[in-house]
Amino acid sequence: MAKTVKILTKNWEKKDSYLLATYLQDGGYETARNVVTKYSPDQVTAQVKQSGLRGRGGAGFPTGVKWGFLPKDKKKPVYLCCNADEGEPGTFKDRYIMELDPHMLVEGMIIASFAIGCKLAFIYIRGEFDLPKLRLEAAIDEAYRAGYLGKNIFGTDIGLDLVVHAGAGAYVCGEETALIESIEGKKGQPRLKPPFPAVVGLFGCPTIVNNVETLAAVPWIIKNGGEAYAELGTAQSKGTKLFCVSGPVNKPGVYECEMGYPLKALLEENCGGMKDGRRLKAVIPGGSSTPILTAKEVENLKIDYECCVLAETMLGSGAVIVFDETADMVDHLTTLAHFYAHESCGQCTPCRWGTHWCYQILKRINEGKGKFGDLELLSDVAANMMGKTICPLSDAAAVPILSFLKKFRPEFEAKIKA
Amino acid sequence: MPKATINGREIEVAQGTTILAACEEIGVRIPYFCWHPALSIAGNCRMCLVEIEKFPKLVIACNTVVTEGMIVHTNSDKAKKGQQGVLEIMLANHPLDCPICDQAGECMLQDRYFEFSLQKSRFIEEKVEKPKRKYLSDKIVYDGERCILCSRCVRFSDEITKDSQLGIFQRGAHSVVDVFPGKTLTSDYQLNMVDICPVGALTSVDFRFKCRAWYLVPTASICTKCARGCSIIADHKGDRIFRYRPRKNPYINSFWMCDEGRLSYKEIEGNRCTKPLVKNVRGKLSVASWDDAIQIVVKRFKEFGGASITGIASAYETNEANWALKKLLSGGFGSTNFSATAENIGKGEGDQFLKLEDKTPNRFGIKKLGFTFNPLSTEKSRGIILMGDDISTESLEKVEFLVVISPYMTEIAKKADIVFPSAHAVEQFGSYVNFEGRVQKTEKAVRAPGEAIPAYQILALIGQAVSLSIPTCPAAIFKEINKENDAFNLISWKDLDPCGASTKA
Repeated sequence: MAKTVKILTKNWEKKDSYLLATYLQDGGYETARNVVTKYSPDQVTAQVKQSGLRGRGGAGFPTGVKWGFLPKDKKKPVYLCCNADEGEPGTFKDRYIMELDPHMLVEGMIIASFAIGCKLAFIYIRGEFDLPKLRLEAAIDEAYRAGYLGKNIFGTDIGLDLVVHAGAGAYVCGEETALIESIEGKKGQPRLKPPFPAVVGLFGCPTIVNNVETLAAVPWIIKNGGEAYAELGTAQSKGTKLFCVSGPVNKPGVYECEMGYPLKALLEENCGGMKDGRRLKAVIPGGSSTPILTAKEVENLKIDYECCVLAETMLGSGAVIVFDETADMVDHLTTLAHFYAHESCGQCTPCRWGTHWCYQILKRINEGKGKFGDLELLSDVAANMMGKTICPLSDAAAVPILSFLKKFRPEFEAKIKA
Repeated sequence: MPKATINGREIEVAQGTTILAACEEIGVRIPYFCWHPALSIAGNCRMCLVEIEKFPKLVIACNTVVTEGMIVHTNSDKAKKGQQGVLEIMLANHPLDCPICDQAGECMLQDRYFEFSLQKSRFIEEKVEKPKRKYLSDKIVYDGERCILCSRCVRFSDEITKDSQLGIFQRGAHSVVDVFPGKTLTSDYQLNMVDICPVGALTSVDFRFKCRAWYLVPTASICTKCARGCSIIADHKGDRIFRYRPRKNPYINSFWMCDEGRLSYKEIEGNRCTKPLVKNVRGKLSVASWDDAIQIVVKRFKEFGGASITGIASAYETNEANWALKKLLSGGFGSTNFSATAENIGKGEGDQFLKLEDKTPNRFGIKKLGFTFNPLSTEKSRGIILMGDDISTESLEKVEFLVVISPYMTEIAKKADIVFPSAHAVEQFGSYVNFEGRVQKTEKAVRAPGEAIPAYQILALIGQAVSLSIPTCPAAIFKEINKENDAFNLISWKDLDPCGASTKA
């Protein structure tokens, strides 16, 4: 087993890891203190740029570059929103960060806020996350009492407030503009882009939306330097990533790996191999919205952004969903299609009706009422849903349909013939 | 001013113009549903997809600004396929209501399907059931299954009437437009939403099931319920008007009109005068021939002499009728006594949007023609020609001979000696001046009932009886008005823009 650098998970095994007292033992909040008292915002952004940190929510956009999109004039207040909506099926890493090490996120947000000039930051947390929200709010409380948040943080004249805002059960609110709309008290529906949030975001002001994992990596990057982070990982995928493995493996869970780690090693060594000695059939590497790969295709797959693209899939959120030989792919795809149809916000035509139509066709096939021509129709509808909508939910819904059909078509045909 | 190419055609547009707006300017047809020139951009129907060279994906034309050197294709194979794909998905859940849907014949979905798709349906699943026939108020019915959720009505309620009475509830394929719990639509402009609804999701309770759109003939006219004079279209079949709709006029009413004005088409079926009436020896009005009635008028007026006759101009009548009144009395009977609708007559409640307190369509017109209100003196008003019904009971008692020209059998008309039946605005060609001094013309949509004719023609007939030539054609009268009156000094009737023109102060 390769030695795993522990950046994000370093405190997870400690007792009461989520308490401030525990966090302080290992130099917690020292980096934030240094940044706020000694650095300039530009220095922080430069380090993050140099680190090559990419957005960990799924899009993989270079974080330092995103921060650089903010307008240079300070005409309007700048907001930082942490995307803790974690809705991508198969993903459960952010919840662990918030449950086990919320202070790392808080410290990351303090540093990020300083870099972008934000005085009021939000954590948009998924409404279903009971424990993570409790832990997060308790941690923020501790941080306020310790003077790390509030009017004069770390004894400076800088003020920073951090607010936890709970969602109410909408996957679409993980999309940055829908998230912003939700915080504004409106229906969680994505906005047209352009304008982009960095220019017109929360309350019409420049806003940066970053994933929990992205922000949680910031303290380590600043403490050890962007270069050190860039030494880990591969040419274009720097640092470490949390991978959530679910499915019939012996040890499912969250694993921190350096970018470029072989997927096979993750499954066989870290996760202890397939349960009951069954054969691997397929893997979805980055959450249900990424194309599925057959067992053969993951033989030599290294998990980083570039290799996944070469394998015609995506790293996505790092949610590794495993299927074994007993998996009924038609049934699984129907479940996924149901999810997307349920979660569509309904604003634009292709997604609203397309997700529903696809689900209905799959349900019919799954129940044994499939007809000749259904698969062509399904592919066509899914293809029609791509590249035409306000937000990528429609694409995310179409991708599994097209990839399941591409890789496991015989199973679908069998159900129709039956 | 960026220069770009659309479908091979080079254009130059103002900075910030979207592709869709540019196409509208140059007459290139792009399909769309949710875009409306008077509302904010929603970009949710995804119908206006176009291809831009060097862009990886299709973009929506309504929200993409034209930039220098952009090369746009609205009808390339890729763009067409995108548009057809969206239409197919939109039609997948649309009920086949056309045979019973009022919108048929003026439905944007039908029209776009025929123009941009013509694909056979491949949808064999169960369509989503939603509330049909939900009364959002006593004026509007909503059909959730026909609704394409373009949000035009919601945006209208937010941005135009600014009362935010509509919202889209639920999510995904179960989304519906609705009023808030326990509420109804209360705006006096709500029926505009029926106009802008691209499909038959919002229908007018008043118009529902009354007439198929393709039987209706649209005629340009003016609403006469207040001094704004919104430009309208009178839709009629034969001699029956079925509805008014607003006509786009950027100077007066934009795309809108109030519901009160919209539903006022019914009033022309009110208590109408249809034949000339003469008060007989027993004091009762009885039907007479035009000749007989006119002869009596000429005889009595000649007896009185010009100094004792007064003409009362009406703020409810056309410029042509009022001008003819002046011509007739001065040229035909030598009278210089005139009055007009009193200032306090024809006033009501206005609002912050289009409705004005002044409920007369031509008060400003008669002012420009030189008429003002003058209290009637007994010596000068032994004989009166009154257009409309603005005369005090006091004066009524002192008048010896009252001639009334009116479309309606009013209480005053009942007391007249002679009644001539005149036409309503929508039954004649005539011009009116609105509160901002803008003159507009109406076109004749339907025939007036019975023997009623435009007031200016009635006055011309009387003129003929005293050998005075008054034109009977409104264009000719309009020309005379323009010659004599500085304020009007406008172009000809023929060339008068459908949106009207400004008179001078």
